[in-house]
Order: sequence, then structure tokens, then C-alpha cells
Amino acid sequence: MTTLQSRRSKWTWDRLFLFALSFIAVCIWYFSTQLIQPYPHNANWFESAALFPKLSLLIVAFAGLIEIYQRRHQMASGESEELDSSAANVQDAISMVVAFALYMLAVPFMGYLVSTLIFLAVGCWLLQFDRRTSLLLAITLSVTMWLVFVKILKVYFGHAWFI
Amino acid sequence: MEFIDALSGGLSSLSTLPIALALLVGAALGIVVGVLPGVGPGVTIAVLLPFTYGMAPLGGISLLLGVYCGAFYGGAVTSILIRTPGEASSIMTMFDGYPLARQGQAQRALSLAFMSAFVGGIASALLLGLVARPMASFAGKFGAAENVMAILLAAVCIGKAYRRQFPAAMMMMGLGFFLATVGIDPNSNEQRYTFGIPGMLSGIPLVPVAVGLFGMAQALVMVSSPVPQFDASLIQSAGLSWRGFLEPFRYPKAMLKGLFLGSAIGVLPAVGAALSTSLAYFWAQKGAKDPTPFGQGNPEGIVAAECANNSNSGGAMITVLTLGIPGDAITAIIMGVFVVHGIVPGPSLFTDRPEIINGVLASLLIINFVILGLLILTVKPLARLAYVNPRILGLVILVLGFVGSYSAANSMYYVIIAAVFGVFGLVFARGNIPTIPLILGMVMGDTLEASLRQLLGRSDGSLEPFVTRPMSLAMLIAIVLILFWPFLMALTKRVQRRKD
Repeated sequence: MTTLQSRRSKWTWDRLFLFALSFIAVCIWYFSTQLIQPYPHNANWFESAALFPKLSLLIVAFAGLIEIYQRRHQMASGESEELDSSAANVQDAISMVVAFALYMLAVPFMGYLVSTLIFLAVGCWLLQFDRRTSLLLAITLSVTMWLVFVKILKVYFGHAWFI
Repeated sequence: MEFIDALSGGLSSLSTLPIALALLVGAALGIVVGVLPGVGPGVTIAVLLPFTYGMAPLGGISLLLGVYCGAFYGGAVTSILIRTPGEASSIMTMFDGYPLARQGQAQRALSLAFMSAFVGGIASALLLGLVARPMASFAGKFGAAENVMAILLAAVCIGKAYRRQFPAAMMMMGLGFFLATVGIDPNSNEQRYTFGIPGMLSGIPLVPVAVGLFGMAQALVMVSSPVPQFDASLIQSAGLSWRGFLEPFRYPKAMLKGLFLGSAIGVLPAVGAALSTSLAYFWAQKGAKDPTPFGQGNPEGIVAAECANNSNSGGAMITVLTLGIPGDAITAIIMGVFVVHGIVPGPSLFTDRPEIINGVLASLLIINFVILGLLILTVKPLARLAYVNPRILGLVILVLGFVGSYSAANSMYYVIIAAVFGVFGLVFARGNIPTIPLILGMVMGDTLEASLRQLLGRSDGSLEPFVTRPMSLAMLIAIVLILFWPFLMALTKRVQRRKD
């Protein structure tokens, strides 16, 4: 029972995630005949448009499986230039992702200025800034961005209900 | 003589107002992001990349190079004053810079760091000017087999830089190679992995991927992390001293050690400035002239570390310009400017577009003068930027990431890609999966596939050219050795133990 539990506990989410990536790579490799249109059935293997992507997918799957095997033990992350997210609060990150997704959906309908203003206000509220700071930040930033990108750099966000 | 001609040609290319302005803005932005908490040159360069679309290639490159070099200088400010390195490569500066500042010598420490970084930057630019052309003419003899092997060698080196995470790095590199193939195949016009989505016919663009992986992911981390606390009592003492500016020249040995390691390691793919600064720091300890113990405010520690740190930039650009192989994420994104403007970095660039090469060389030289000038004028108010709340900066980066990726093609498709890769970047970071190899794989994937297909097409599918051409064979042997070195070492150790 103990052995089973310890084995199960080693299947951490990152190993499952790596497994999912490897599995997807194998699936794409397998279904390449349908995913490359038209598939070069008659081409020599070395002239085929499928050669390089299939090789790349094999690297993904194979290296992923080795990494999963290596991660059965806890690994210390060394000093690198990669992003360190160890202190990040996942819930806060998810709420910001949701807010950003809504912002992406809102821009074509509500216009850049109004959507950015609302997104910044919501963002400040999520980050628990006080009301005065939030208002000041949201208005100043959104108006500055709108002036710089829409008015000066002429980025066109399409026709919307508001500006 | 050729070098002087190239330099004067480059200087005249920079003398137009938009390019000079881009250089100045890049340098100023670089210094600022070096000081700002949580924002590094990678994030800034990724977010700025879409805005270089409308600029002349040299203007865009100068802007990003300014950010790249400026951040090296800016990172020293927070290392010395608040014991928080702006960059991983500024950690070694902190070891002796902060104790010096605590002893009431903050101005001396800052001056030492800036002048050492300046010497490093100038030396690396000169190195680029002297080495790049001969290296390019050598690389010009490369055929398809050598191109394939050079990219594979770079890929293996990048993977090995992640030590125990080698398989994860190779996995991400493979993913990058794969993503580079999505879209219409330029040789056969077949649609590859487009899933019927019209936007994907032109492939997965590099710009929003870079914005997502490096800009948005970092922003999401910044908004969801607690605000770091630090001792801000020394910020008021920021300033410079003229005596401190001249002091690095009293330690020529430490300076040379830093210059040598910084330039040499800068050329190697993925090793990065952090390793060169730590090696230079420990090397400078041997035979140090100043009697102060290292870690307690020895000026030679700052000189060696900062010289090594800033001399990386020229070395890193050598492989980009001569081989078209980026050494790290930042140079990969800078290479994106070339890609965006349809310029292929590599040996042919030296003959086809010499103004770009000369411009990069002159930019790297001038940027260091501009940065030093800006620092002399603004170091006092600059240090106060360390107070800025990183959560506010995170929100600003998200909004800039949105408009940046949108404006690259006036398309929401780009924003969606950036957002998806932003979330991926966060998930990968949480799972301790490296993302830099993915972007490097995407950048090198096209060239690797084109060279591989060219070689196999010519040889009717035979792999013989890889072993019959001497340079290709040498690189193949290097790859095998790098891959199997740990096993060989373990085997010899086991044999020795048995003998004992």
C-alpha cells in the first residue's frame, strides 16, 4: 500500500503535463497523413514535406518520455535565465488570464479606449489597489495608450460601439 | 583598415534621425528596465519586437540592442543599492557592490560598475568588428551538411546548458522545430498542420510567440507574485564619483579576466552572461591586488564581474550575424527583426547587406557611450525606479503585449497566439520546463529543414555527406562527444574503481 501511494504521489501534475505533451506529439505524428494536405504519398521519404515535422515530433515525444522518467525524483532547479514563477499565486494568475481573455473579446465591440480602461480598472481591483490609485492608473494609462497607439501610431482596431 | 572602413560606414548609417532616435530610446529603456523590479531585457525586447515592424531594419536592431546593453548597466544599480540583482548576471556585482555601498561608498561602487561595464561593452563591440568578418568568410564555405550540423551542435549545446533538464530542453527545442513547420510548405505548397484555420496558413508567427512566452508570461508572474520587500535606505545615496570612474584601470588583470571570459562565453550558445560573471569573479580572486576580502567590498570583484557581464553582448551577436544561430532568447528575438524584414542572417549578409553588419557594429559601440552619458545625467532619479510596484508594471506589460501583438499584423489572431503562449509560458515555468529552447527552435527550424532537405535531395537520401565533409564530420564528432561525455566519464570511473 505504501509503495503504491508513493508511486502515485510521484505522478505530479508536471509529469502528467509532460506526458500529455508527448502523447499529443505522438497523435499528431500518427495523424500526419490527414494533417498534411495533400499528403505526399508518392514522394521519396527524403523529399517529403512530412519528414522534418515528423522528426521534430519524435524528438518531442522521446525527450518528453525521458524527462518524465527523470522526474520520478525531485529535481532542484539550477540557476538559469528562465522565468521563476515559484512565488506566483496561481489563483491570481488565473483571474488575470480570465480578465485578459475578456479584454481580448471586448476590444472589437467596445473599442480600444473603453476596453483598456475597464481592463485596467478590473486588473487594479483584482490586485487590490485602493480605489484612488486604481482610478488614476486606469484613466492615465488607458488614455496615454489610446493617444500613442490609436491617434499617433494609427493602429486601427476596427469599427466598434465606442472609442 | 577594413575594420575602420566598416566602422565609418556603420556610423554614417546611424546618422539618420530615426535610427539615432531608436538607439537613444533603446538605451534609455534598457537602463530603466534594468532598474525596474521584475522587468528584464527579454520581456522588454519581446514586447518591443512588434513595434519594429514599421521601422528600418537597422533602426529596429539598434532599438533592441540598446535595451539589451542598457539592461546590463541598469541591473548593477539595484544589485549595489538594494541587494536585489536586476538580472541573473548581476548577482556577482552584488557580492562586493552592496558591502561597499553599506560602507558609505555607494557612489564609488556604482562608478566602478558602470566604467567596468563600459570597458566590457566597448571591447566586445571591437571584438565583433574584428572577428565577425573572418568568421563569416569561413562560414561562407559551409554547405548544407555543415549548416545542419552547426544547428544540431548549437541545439545540443543549448540542451546541455540545462544540465539535468537536458531532455526537457530538447523536447522544447523539438517543439520549436515543429512549430516552425506549421503553414504552407515553401517547397511543395502542401498545407502542414493548419487544422483548417485560415490564419495558420502563413504559419505560427514568431512575434506573438515571443510576446506571449517572454512578455505576457512574465507579466502574469509579476501580477500574481507578492511585492518584494527590500532595504531602501541606500537609494538616496545613489550617485557617481569621478575617482571611481578611473579606478577600474588600476586593476587591469581583473578587467582582462572579465573581458576574456565574457567574450568567449558570449559566443557559446545558451551558456549566458551569468556563468561568465561568476567564473570571472572567482578567477579575479586569484592574485587580486586589493587586500579587501572578496564579498566584503573588494573593487576587483565588481570590475571582473561587470566587464564579463557587458562583454557578452558582442560575443552573442557574432554567432547571430555569421551563422544565423542565436545563442540565447534575447538574441533570438533580436534575430526576429531580421526575419520580419526578410533578411537572412549568415555569411551572405556580409556581402548582400554590409550596411546592416556595419550598422550593428557601430550601434554596439555608440550605445555604450550613450548609456554611460545617460547614467551620468540620471543616476540619482533612476535609482528611485526601484520603488515602482512590479504588479503595476505587470498590468502595463499585459496591455502593451496586447497592442504590440495586434499591431504586428492588425489581427486578433496574433493576440490570441500571444495569449495562448503567455499561459503556456506560465504553465511551463510552474512545471520547471524551459521555454527558451522553444523560441530558439522556432528561429532555427526553417534553416535546419531547408538545409536538410537540400542535402538529402542532392544525395538521393544518403546521409554520407555528413561524414565525408571534414567540417561536418568534426561537428558530428563534437555532438556525439557532448551527448555521450557523461556516460564515458561514468564508465571510466567505474573501470578505475574496479581496478582499484
